[in-house]
Amino acid sequence: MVLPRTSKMCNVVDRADEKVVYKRYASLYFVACTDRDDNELLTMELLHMFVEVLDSYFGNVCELDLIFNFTRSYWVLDEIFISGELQECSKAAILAAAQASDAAAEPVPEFGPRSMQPPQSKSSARRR
Amino acid sequence: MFNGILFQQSLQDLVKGIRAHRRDEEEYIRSKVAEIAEECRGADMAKKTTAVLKLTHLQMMGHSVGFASFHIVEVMSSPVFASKRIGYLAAAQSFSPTTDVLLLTTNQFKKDLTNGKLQDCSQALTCLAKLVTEDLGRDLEHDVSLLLNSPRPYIRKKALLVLFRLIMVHPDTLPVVSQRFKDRLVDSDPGVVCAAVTVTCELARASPKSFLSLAPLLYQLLTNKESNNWMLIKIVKLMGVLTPLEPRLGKKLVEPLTTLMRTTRAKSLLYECCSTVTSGLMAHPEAVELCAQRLGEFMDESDQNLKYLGLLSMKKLIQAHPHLALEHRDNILDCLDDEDIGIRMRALELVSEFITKRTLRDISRILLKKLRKASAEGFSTDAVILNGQRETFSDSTSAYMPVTDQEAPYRQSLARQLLKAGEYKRSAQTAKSGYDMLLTGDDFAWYTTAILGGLAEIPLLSNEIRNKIGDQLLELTSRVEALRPISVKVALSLLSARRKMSAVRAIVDQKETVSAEDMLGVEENGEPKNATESDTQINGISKNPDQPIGACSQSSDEALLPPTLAASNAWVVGEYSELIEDPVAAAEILISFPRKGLDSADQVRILTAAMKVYASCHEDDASRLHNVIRRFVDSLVDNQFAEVQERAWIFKTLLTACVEGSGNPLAALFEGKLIPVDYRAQSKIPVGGGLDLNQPLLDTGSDSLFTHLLKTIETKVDDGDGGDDDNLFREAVFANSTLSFSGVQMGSSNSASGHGPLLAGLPEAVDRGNNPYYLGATSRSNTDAKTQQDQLSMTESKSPQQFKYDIPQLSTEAAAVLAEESPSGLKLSDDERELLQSEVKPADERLEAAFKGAFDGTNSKETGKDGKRKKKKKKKSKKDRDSASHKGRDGKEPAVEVSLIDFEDASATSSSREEAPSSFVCRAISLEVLTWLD
Repeated sequence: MVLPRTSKMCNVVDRADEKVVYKRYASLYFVACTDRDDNELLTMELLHMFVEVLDSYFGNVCELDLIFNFTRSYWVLDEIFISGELQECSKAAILAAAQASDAAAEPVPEFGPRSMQPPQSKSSARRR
Repeated sequence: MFNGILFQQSLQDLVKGIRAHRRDEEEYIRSKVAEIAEECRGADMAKKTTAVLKLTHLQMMGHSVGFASFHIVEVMSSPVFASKRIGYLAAAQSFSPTTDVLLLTTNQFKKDLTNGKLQDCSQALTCLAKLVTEDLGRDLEHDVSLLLNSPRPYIRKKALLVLFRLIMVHPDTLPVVSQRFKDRLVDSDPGVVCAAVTVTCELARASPKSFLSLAPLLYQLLTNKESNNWMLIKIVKLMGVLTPLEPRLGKKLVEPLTTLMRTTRAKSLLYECCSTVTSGLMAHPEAVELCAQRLGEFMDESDQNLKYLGLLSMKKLIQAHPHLALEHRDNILDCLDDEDIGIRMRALELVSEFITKRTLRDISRILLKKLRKASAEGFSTDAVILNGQRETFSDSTSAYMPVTDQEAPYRQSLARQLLKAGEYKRSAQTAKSGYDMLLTGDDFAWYTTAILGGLAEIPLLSNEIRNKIGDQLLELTSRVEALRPISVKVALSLLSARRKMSAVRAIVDQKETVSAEDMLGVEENGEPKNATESDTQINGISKNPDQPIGACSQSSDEALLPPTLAASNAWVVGEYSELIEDPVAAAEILISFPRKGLDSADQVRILTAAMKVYASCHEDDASRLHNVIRRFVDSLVDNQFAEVQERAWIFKTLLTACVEGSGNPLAALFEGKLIPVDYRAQSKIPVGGGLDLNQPLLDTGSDSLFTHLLKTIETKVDDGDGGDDDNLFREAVFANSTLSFSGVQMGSSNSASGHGPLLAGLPEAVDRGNNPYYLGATSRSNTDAKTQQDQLSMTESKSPQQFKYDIPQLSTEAAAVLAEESPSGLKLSDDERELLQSEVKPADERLEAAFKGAFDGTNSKETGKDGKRKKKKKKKSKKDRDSASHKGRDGKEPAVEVSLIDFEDASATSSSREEAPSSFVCRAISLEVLTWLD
């Protein structure tokens, strides 16, 4: 649905009763599914914010980071959205919360090298 | 490896392993799942945690992990936060409301929510937001609502949002927490306020009324300079929901909203403001003006998203304030060229909003041009060659989806939009029915040539659209008299498929430069040229047109006129054949139209049209055409479709009757002009004095009428001489008309004209033959229709002199009288129009049944409905006869002639005009019956 669209097309696609809003960062697509009357521009800004937070959390985030640390990207996402609603809109606060959570889990079973996974973001799964 | 867990595969190993086993991924994963299940069963919590982590990954990849639900709950309840966190995540990802272990989690949630540890609480809340069910909601609402007063903003914020989910699944929560909820809107922490606004906004969408009381508070937040954009958007959205309920709120909002729209630099906020204006502030001109201005800017943007959203919002705005559309017209039309089909579709929706009588032509022309372009692009499988600028586009998409499929909805919408103007508006009041957009004859001429003609030649339209084009051509032509010469011309040029592009173009170009008055004159000048063009085409000499070849003409060579369109066009040509300048060429176009792929109804239409053209032409032309037509009919006699065969036989018999060189005998059949009549008109004519409609016409004694008739025929058959041509002709007419029109009119004639026993028996017998309910009743019903016809003809040839071929002035008079009753001959009523569409088939079938129904009894189309229709018709034809003979008396003509006349009339109609739309008789009968039944 999203993949065949070119960069010249708009980032909103109608899908049944919902809208699919997506943003592409290099080879990574971040896809969100929203209600019909939700603000598309807002959604795109939120996607962008998510990416920025990931970026500062991982330090220049790349696909591999997300794949290996999929749990972490979920946790970051959880700090931004709860039940599909925006929870925190300050990047610093999100980052702080995510790091605090990590700190609490210091002796986490943390494992070495990272591996690969398809280049689709999971954000769609998390929004309603 | 770590934490002393030897030999356990880590998440990374798993992911790597999956990637290494691309070929047998399924199998590899199955073995791993078994391994993980084993690990889960162990007592070591760290090992279990890793197993659950791996499971979460597998779950994300789309594998079912239902078997491990219990182990996930175990990990969730681990005292170690690192494990707990993974457990919660796994639960959030893999549990569904129907997961049975969900019941076990209630206590765990309760414990974590109340134990005062920030991180535990946060994880529990996050997970709860995902999992909440009604049971969980009922059990946990108290704990969560207590958290609203937590000293930590972080928790308050999360609790608020989780509470929203709780309320959604368990609405009873709302009254309990509403006060605490309200307090959060004035929380000291902006994040909490933002969350509270978000929740309010979402809840208000479900039931706006209960949130009106919060409006002042929200208004305060809206005007507060410190509010951030995220929150403002939510508030503005919320206001958009509330304003329709409370108009005064709208008035108050105008000022802050316009300020916001002027000052903000955030496009999303601006857009939200515009949405709110379109939903709630339509009554405030200043806001609307500003909104339109801003949306116009959106559409100007190069950013596709803004364009799309601008169009989306603009549509709502324009629906309420159509005048705003004019300013942005060009902008919107530009969007029709966009590469994104979504944008084009939105723009098209907008276009339909600002089409008016004045702008119709301009916009239609533009739309047609776009459609041509779109079709050409879609038609060419190689979009790259056709249009260089789309190269990159087609390259990147072709791998996923063919261009054609994506573009189809856009093309159909364009065509549908174009056809809107030609739709007849039905209204309960007759005065309001009609065409909204088309007023003058010029309008209609333009619409037919430019739009219908233009659309017909566009390839790649769906059948639905094509049927619509055909229907409209037919309908417009029969409704609008002034249009007929032009329709005929368009239809002819469309039928000459290979050259149709240039021919229609010529007409269109001509049309656009001439005004309504001198149009017909120019038409005549232009005609010879068209005719010669058609001629060359027929002879198969496809000389290259000199006109520049557009993208469409490339494809039109391959795309003949689709069958349904061909049939409608043929009908128009045939029905108004007296308007054709060069009947010979017209007939040849019809004859040479490729029949491949046409079904029987379409072929019959073309055949009938050719006959009509032949019948209507002058002596010279007729003699020129005679042989051509004969050959054509002969070629159809062994057509694969029975119906076409039947028709061809009838015409063949007719033609045999025509002596070559003696003028055009068929023309006599068309002298009387039949005018459409309002369906109520007939009922206004009183039944003549002394007529008893219930009295049987003749007494046949104990015999059934049909038996009586057949007996008579049998006695006559033997000494029938086959007749000369002249006789044959009459016979055909006779057989045709009696069988299809029940011959009831003859009832009164037979006594006076002395037809003897044969005719005395005919009417009712034939009537029964017509009636499907009698089909199987007689032993003769299985005889071939042709035999029957022959029999009739032969017997009838005994008394040929009884028949005259003058077409009854009287009948025409009657029609004229009837026509007076309706406001105008052009305007058909709604019912009539429907019949016009629906009658085409049944009329054909009636004729068919008359000949054929008696012998095969399996005529699949003889359904109950048609049967009923026929029954009604029988009743009606009695009435018809009554009124006709009544007229006859008034007209001081002998009753004998009246009946003959009626009979002739029917024969003319049935032999060459059997298609219902043209046939006054057919239509009048069925319409009358319908009204009468009411």
